[in-house]
Amino acid sequence: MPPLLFSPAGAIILAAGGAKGMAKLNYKQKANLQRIALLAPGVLLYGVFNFIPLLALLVLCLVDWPGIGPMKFVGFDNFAQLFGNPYFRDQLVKAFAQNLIFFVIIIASMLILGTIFALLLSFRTWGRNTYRSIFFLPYPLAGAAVAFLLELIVRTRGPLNVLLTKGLHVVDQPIGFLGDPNLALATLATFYSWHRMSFAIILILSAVVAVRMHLLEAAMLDGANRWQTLKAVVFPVLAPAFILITVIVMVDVFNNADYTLILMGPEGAPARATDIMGTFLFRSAFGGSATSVNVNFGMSAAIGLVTALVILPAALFLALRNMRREK
Amino acid sequence: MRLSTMLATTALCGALMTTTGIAGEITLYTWRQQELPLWQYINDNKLLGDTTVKAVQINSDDYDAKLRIALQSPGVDLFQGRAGAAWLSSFIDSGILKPTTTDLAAMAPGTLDAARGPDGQLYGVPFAVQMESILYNTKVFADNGIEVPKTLDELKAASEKLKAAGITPINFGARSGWWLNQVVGEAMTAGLVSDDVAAKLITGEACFTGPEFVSTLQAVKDWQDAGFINASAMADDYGAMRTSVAMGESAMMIDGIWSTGPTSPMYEIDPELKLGFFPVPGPNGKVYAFGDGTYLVNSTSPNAAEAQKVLDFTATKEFAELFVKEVGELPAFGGEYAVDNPLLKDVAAAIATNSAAPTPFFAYALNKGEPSYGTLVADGYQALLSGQLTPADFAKKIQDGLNSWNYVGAANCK
Repeated sequence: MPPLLFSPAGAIILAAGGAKGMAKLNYKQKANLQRIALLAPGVLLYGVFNFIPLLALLVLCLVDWPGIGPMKFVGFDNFAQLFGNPYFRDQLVKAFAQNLIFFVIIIASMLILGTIFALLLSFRTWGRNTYRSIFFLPYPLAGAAVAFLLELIVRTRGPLNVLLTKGLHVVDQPIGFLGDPNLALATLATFYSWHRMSFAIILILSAVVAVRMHLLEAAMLDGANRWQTLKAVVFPVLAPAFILITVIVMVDVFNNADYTLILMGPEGAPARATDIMGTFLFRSAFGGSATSVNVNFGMSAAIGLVTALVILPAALFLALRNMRREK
Repeated sequence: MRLSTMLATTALCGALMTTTGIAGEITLYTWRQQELPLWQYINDNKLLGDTTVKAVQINSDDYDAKLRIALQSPGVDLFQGRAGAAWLSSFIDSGILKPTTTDLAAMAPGTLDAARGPDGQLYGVPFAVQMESILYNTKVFADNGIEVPKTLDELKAASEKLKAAGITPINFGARSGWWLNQVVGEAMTAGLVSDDVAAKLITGEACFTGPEFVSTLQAVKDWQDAGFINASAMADDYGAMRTSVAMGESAMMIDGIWSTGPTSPMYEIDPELKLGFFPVPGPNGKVYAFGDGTYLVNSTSPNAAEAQKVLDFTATKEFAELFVKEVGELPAFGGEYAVDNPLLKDVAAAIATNSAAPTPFFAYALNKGEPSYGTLVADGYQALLSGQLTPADFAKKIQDGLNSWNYVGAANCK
């Protein structure tokens, strides 16, 4: 335990209580005070910006409220509508199924490509740090900027289609990456993966670096070939990083829809092919078009809560698995 | 949990936030960038005395969301609403809107439906008459020796000629759902469906699976099958469509007359661009006209009385003439007013003499339940153009969707 007097938390306590008061406390009390002081800012911020809104969400899902004027208490009617009314139920099922596909494409590409890039970057090759910087560049960009940037590339007049039609002559007509219902969701998933790939690379790379050399040498001395070494020594070390990436990405893609909302609108065009839970939630709160009549923050809160309850077990299972491994 | 947390945070913060305005300043929320010069002119010339109007312009796609959040706290005195009772209803239910006290006797009768609530009362002042039809690049038509088509066969012949010349005859920006239901659906109906049947579609006496309505969907499908529509229709959005016509790569598009206004981005692509218009040349052959939206007073605002004075001004002849001059669109004013722009004069004439009266997209009877007519049309057109639905299936999907919430024609159109 570092001396309390020299820690920032200690300074706060001293300022609040004074050195005289502190002297009367025993070591355990001081340690507890330090813990509280260290935890307080985080708990306060989390409470104000996450926990209280989360509690408000529980209340909000019991009302019918268009975002303005008085709220009307409807009990569990929003949930009854969501699961009982075919109009909402069909949207829920479709949005969830498409969200699952969206997630699978993203997580598969992030884990596979992220591992490949991380392994490549772990070698002592020339310019390794430059490559790292290049890979990391997209990550700090805002989602909106990435959405517009990538849309410029894949649009029918964009460089990718010009390359395919006039450069390589692979196709006669430009490919509607965002217009073809069979391609649009995968294209958006590619945007997401490109944007967040460095996040996966960094986590996997730090795990790769943590693989101890003597274990690799021991495996080789025991006669293991390259694949067996990767499988028996490297991948088990990477597993916690894989799980962490999976959980964070899962929570993110089931609750956000920035690319979809910006590029495809709240209706998840084309023909709802890119509709995911985030767009369904947004549309329920704010409407999709001038003729949207059922704008209801309560329904959106219900959708948010259902999403949280559906992904929570998976996220908890993976997180607990990670903790067990660490033990 | 971020979106849902944002939702709850919005709900909490809305109650806590307070905004203070400057005395004599009225805040107007609008999605229409073209109106900014108008309000600037009114402020600069002190046409409202000591009252100034601060116009807050929000991108059309984000407008509804941001307006609802802004209305949770003081700071919005006046705002523009989209046309029709479906959009207005939640604002009326919440007490934000009260029946207007402005004298609307001078407004064009056909635009008043934009301000009419579900109860039949008027809640604001309509602000523009819009017209939707086929817009064409006059230079492309002239260069290829094409006359304005008067029938669907003439349109087909013109399209064949343009296609042979390497020009896309009709450009579709079908990724934009709002354009499909609000523009394509309505312009096609005005061109191909008789006013009588269109009115009966709204009252439920005619069904969407009937031959006249299906013919509107079939016409679009035929154009696509014949290669008259850009192959990338589903990948292109509204902006890409206008770009293509402005560049002369495409000859025509189905659009609103707002694209010909002085602030239209099409003139940034080609400042010399000249656009003409003609109705979809079907059996009905009419353009589609409607009140674009409404100026509304936030009755819960502390500045509601001053905002009401601004609202009264928007119903005057003086405002109508400024509207024509500064916005470049036709006002909803029904009396005599000066118009210098020759294209606007033609538009005014077309609206007065050859516009379809029924407007299914804005009809409350078709849009008061979910899925609304507007939603079904946007989804259906995207499915049609993607090859997922035939015109007949598309029509059936609209009918079944409306029947699912027992709309006015459900019993008649099982």
